[in-house]
Amino acid sequence: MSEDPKAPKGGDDADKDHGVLYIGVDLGTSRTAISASNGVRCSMASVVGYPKDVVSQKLLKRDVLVGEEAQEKRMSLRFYRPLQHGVLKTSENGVEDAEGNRKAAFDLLQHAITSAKPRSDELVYAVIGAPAQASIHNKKAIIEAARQCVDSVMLCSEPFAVAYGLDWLEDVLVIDIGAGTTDLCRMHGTMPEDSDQVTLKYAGDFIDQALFDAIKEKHPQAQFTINMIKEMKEKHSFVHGRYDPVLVQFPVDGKPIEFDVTDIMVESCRRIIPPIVEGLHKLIASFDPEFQHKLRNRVLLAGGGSQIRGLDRAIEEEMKERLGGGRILRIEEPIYGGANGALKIAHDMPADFWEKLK
Amino acid sequence: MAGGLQKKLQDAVRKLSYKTSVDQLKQRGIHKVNVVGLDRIVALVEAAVHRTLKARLHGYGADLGPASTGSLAEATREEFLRLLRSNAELEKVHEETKREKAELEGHVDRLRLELLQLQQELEAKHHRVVQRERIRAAATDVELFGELERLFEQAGRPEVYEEVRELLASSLDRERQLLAEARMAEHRVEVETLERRILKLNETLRRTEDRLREAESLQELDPGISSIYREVQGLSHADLQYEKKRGLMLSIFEANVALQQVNQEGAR
Repeated sequence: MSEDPKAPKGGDDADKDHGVLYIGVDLGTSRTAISASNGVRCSMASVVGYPKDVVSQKLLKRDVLVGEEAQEKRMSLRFYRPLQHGVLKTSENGVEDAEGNRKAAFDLLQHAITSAKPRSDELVYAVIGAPAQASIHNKKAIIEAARQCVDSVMLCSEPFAVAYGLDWLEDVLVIDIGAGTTDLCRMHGTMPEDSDQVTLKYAGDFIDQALFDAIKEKHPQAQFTINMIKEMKEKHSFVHGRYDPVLVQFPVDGKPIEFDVTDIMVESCRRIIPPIVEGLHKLIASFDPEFQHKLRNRVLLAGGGSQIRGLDRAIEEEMKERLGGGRILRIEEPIYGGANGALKIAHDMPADFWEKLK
Repeated sequence: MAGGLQKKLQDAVRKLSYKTSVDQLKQRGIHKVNVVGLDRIVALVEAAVHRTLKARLHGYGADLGPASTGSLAEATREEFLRLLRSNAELEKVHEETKREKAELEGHVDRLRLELLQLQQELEAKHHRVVQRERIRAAATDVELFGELERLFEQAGRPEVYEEVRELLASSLDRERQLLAEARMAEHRVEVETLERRILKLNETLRRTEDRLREAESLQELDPGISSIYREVQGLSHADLQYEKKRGLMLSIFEANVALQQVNQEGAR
C-alpha cells in the first residue's frame, strides 16, 4: 500500500509544524479550571501573589505566584483574589487597587492558559466561560488578558457551556453554583438571552460567611479564619440525609478544642436553597406552558458549590413544596463541567469564525 | 473486532503505565499528579480514528469496504499508540530536565557554601597567625621596655631612654616582620592547598552554572504537549444536532464580534 503524499502526515512530533490546540477555561471566583485538546486538565485557586519585598523575592525566586502556591505563601506576598461575585474586580465595581487586581487577573489567566502546555508551533484557540451577567467592561478585560497568549479567543456564558458540554441544548435548566455567584440558565435550543438567565449572590462565599457568623455567635471563644471555614465546608458540608456529626477543631487560647458544628453546617448550607428555587420558579413560570413540565424535570446541577452532599435532594424537596415537583441531575464532574463545555464549543466553532476574531 | 481492538488498547495503556502508591509519591516529593480520564483517552482514540479515516479516504471516495476495516483498525491502533507515546515521551523529557535543573541548583548552592567556608577558613587562619604574633610581641615589648626603662633610671640617664627605645622598637619590628614571614612560610603549604581547592571549586562552580543555564534554557524551550488535532475541526455534519449547534456557534461568534467592536471603538 502506497502512502498518499497529500494525506496528513502522522509523523513524529519533532517534524510537526502545525496543529490546533483548543482550550476551554472556566474562570471562577474561587477556582479556575482548564481543559485542553492535548489531554491537559487542571484547576487552580483563583489567587495571585507578588513578593512583598526584595527579601521575599529572593526567597521565592519568582515575581509572580499563582494558585495553591500563592495561597501557601501568602504571608510573604501582596495577595490578590482578582474575582469577586463571579466578575473581575475593576474600577467600575469600586474596589481598592483596581490596577493591582487587573494585573492579577491577567497573570491568573495567562498562567491558566500556559498550564495547558501549548506548543509554539500550534494555533491556540480558547473559549472562556464568563459569568452569565458579566458587564461589557469585564468581558473586555478578560479578552484583553487572554489575547496575549492565544491566537484567538471567544467568551461564552458559563452555564451555557456546562449544558453544551453535555449536549443538553433544549428544555434544560442549569444551576451553576460557584464561589461568587449561582447562575441559573434556561436552555431552549437557541442562545440564552438575558431573560433566560438569573445570577444570584447566594453561592459558596455566602455560605462561608454564614458559617463564619454562626460559629462566631455560638462559640465566641473559638479562633478561626474564613479560609479555615472554607476548608471545613469543602470537607464536611451536607444539607440532606444522615451523615456523621461534623466535629472540627479550632484553637481556644492557643489550645485546640473540638466543636460540634453539625446543625450550623446544615442550616448555613441550606440558606442558598430558597433563593435558588425562587430563581428556578421565575425561569419556569415565564417559559412556554407547554414545556414547563419538561423544564422542571430537567434541572442540571453543576459548579464547585454543587458538591454539597444531598443538595440535589434538598432542592428537589423545596421544588416539590413550591413548584409542585421537579428533578435535579448532578453533572459528573462539577469542577470541570464548565471547562469541558467551553472546550467542546471551541472544537465545534468553524475555522472562519476563529480566523475573523484573530 | 472492536472488542479485540479495545483489549489491545487497554493492554497498551497498561504496559505504558506503572504502579505506585500515594506514600511512594509523597516520598518523591510529589503531592499532586495529573490524571488522564477515560474521556481523554476516548478523545485520543477519536482523533486517531479521524486522522486515519482522512488519510485513508483521501482521493478514494467516501465508501470504506469491509475489506479495509481490518487494516483501518490496525492503523487506528498504531496512530493512537503513537500519540500516546509522543505525549508520554515529551512529559518524560520535561520531567528529566526539571529534575536535572533542581539537582544542579542544589549542587551550585553546595559549591557556593563550600567555597565560602574555605575562604572564611583561610582568612581566619591568616588572622590567627597575625593575632598570635601581635600578642606575643606586645607581651615581649612590655617586659623588655619596662626592664630597659628601669636600667636607664638606675644609670641616671632617663633622657636617653626614649631615643634608645625608638631605635630598639624599629629594629625589633624589622626582625619580627622577618620572623612573621618565616612563620607564614611554614603555613604556606596549608594555605596553598586551600587556595588550590578554592580555585578548583571556582572552576566547578562555573561549569555547574553553565550547565544550569543550559538546563534552564532547555526548560524554557519546553515543546509543550501536542494537541490531538492537526487542523481546525468545526462541527461534524454527522452530529445529530448539527443545525441547532451551528446556530448556537453563530450566536456566540456574533456576540464576540460585537464585543471586539466595542473593544476597538474603546481603543480609538
